[in-house]
Amino acid sequence: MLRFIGRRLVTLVPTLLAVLTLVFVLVRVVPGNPALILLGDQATPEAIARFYRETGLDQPIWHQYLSFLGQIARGDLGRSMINDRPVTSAIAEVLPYTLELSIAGVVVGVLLGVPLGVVAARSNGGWVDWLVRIVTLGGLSFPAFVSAIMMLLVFGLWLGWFPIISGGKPWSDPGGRLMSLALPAINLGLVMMAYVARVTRGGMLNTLPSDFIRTARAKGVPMRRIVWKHALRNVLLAVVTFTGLYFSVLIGNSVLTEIVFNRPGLGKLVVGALDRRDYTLLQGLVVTYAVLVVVVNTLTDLLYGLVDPRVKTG
Amino acid sequence: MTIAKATFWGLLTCVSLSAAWPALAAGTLRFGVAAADLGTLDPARATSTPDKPLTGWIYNGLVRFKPGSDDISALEPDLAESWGESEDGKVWTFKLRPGVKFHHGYGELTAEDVVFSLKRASNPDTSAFATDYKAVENIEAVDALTVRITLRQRVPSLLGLVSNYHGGNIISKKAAEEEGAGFATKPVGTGPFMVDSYTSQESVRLVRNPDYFRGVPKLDGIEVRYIPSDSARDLALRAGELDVSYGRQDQQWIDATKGMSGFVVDIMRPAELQQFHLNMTSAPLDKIEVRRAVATALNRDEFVKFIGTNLAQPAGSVIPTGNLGWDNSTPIFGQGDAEAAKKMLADAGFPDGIKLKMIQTSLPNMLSVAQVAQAQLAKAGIDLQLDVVDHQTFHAQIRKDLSQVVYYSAARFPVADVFLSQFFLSDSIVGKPTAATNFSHCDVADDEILGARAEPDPEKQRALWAAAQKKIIENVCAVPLYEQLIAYARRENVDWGYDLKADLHLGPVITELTDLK
Repeated sequence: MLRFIGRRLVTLVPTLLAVLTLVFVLVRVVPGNPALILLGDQATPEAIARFYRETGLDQPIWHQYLSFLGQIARGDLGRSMINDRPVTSAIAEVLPYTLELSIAGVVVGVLLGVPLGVVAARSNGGWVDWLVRIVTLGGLSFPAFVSAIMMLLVFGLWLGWFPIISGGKPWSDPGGRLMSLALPAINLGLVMMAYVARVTRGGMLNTLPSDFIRTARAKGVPMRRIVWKHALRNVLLAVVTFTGLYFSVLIGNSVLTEIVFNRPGLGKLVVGALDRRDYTLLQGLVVTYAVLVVVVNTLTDLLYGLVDPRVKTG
Repeated sequence: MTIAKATFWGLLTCVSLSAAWPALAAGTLRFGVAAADLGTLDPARATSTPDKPLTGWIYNGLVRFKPGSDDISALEPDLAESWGESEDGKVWTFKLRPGVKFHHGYGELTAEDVVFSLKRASNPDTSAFATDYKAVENIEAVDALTVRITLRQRVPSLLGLVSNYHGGNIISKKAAEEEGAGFATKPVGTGPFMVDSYTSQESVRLVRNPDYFRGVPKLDGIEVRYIPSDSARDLALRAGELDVSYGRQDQQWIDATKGMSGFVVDIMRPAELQQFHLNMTSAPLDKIEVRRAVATALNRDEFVKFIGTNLAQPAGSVIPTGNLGWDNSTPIFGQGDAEAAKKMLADAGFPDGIKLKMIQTSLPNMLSVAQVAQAQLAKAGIDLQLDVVDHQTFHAQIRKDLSQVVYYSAARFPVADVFLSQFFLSDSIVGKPTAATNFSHCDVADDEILGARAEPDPEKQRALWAAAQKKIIENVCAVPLYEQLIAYARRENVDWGYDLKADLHLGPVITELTDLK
């Protein structure tokens, strides 16, 4: 197990290096610079030149690149070019919000998606199946910001069940925190639910005609037990794979949900950093995303062993 | 614990919470801002629209604009009780109000703090507004409560430079030195409200300053919420989760919000002048006949109609209305006469029309204005080719002189000298080491602008400013389109405590008199 994780960490290095190089180049190719943001639109060329000197942006590009890599190697993500705060603390501040939202989104997606998929497969071609397919199609085709506004309108403004402004509640107030997490998590989880339902339905349809199902039925095992225990167990592997892959996507997708529900988070930080051309913060965020993706993939691999003992990690 | 006991305590908690909560909430004003996060609360660095209003609540200047007003001729005492100037207008002495206390126990305000703040504001390393203070030779503390400012040459409005705006805001020397860059989120001033906490991407909480020298503020505090989505901000306002909210700056939003009972829309100045700057060195715009044709083809009335009469007001000159020295005696172009424009182009040797390249920001409000202009110009055979880029790219590229036509929206410190110098003085031409925002390469009014700056007689100064505007208009360096005001929405129970007509901080100032009724 430890060796497995160690190998994973080693493979992380080239991936990270490639991503870092790409980001380093991209943010500098895009026109615009942090100096104008910080100094305002009335800044003089002298002031801009001074800013470049202070932040090292006047150095040759390869020099900037090497010192940037050196910094990362030392585990130092640097300081924001705009407000001079350490990048690590800016990220650490909002990371829990993004993780909590993404995990809640996954939970919503899986808890709703799997049963929907199973039910649909059982009524294959029936009206329940059609209903599920329509619902999931809706989940897939509704842009996240539209569904978010509609949810706020209905559950926030009209019914008054949930607050419009999410976030801002500490975990010492678990009720408030969960209430403010509910709508964003459902919004984020809806798309995932649609995918999971489809993956589950497809898997079930493949599994149900199998020999071992027929054998179980012949032995008189109740259908409910066959479906939820034997068949579903075989489908879960695909669901876990998908969930692991999609979890990474979810972390990236959360930005629209974060903006509409006004939650702090990595996505909003990225948009802000791009907007202000905050090179250091942007680089730090990419490192964070890359690490998150690798961590999630590793966890997924470890989960395989739990779901299906035939898969061995070693 | 028995069930009965638990129920009793539970109920008691609920009752006491529900009793305590409204009392606490009633005095806190919740203010919605259209941004994802705070930029900075350092007054010498706060240049963005969402950051500026907060500086107006936290700091004082030596003098101040009357709350709700942007009239620079009606400045009143703030931290200074009295002041005087030497005969040549180069030496100014300010007597400070005694006993003014800084926030969070940072002690009493002294002349040292004022000297520190103003020197910091004039230093390009620490301030975005250093150029405003170029004429300042020395700032010194004569005694604990007296400050003397010596100028190299007379400036049009020294009082403006020490008012509660931009670099004129006074901060605590001790706090600034202790906090360093951290001052951006832990500011210490003398104003009615002091920063209690800042949560990244979420909120700034301010509490009232119990020692405020004009009296204890009526509000307990202010909670500033960062909500970048217009729709979410609107919903939060309607659901009662916000008391004041930055509006969507269009007529449709104003009409919808006005139609809801319990809400009021405040329309305020400063008006940002929306202007097309025409690059006079780039063919075919180097010919004045061509620039005149462009200006004639643009239709100013249509822009006002397009934006809506609540938010748009007609422009009168190449500097914003209300600036000290503003003059509308020279007729500006913008009649929307396509036929006349076509004829002008033909006479100038372009019977088949012309093509113009324009780098344009993708900010929706500005893009739609550029598209209206594009349609107007097309009628006269002028093909305005928009190269739409994101806002930061736009700012970078127009400063590299890459756009023949630059659409710029701006309000500046309300003295003609500032706007004229930044946009129309030859030193300010983009690309020069002294560049500011002269995108048109206009150099026709240098004598008048510089002459007015040094002119001691206010009458003659005004005449020079008027002459500068006349030359700029006649040479068609720029075409003013319209002026855009600012819209905020508030719940009816919010009482500003003054008549809100304007605020240079681009948002309502919240004073000790502001209240929730």
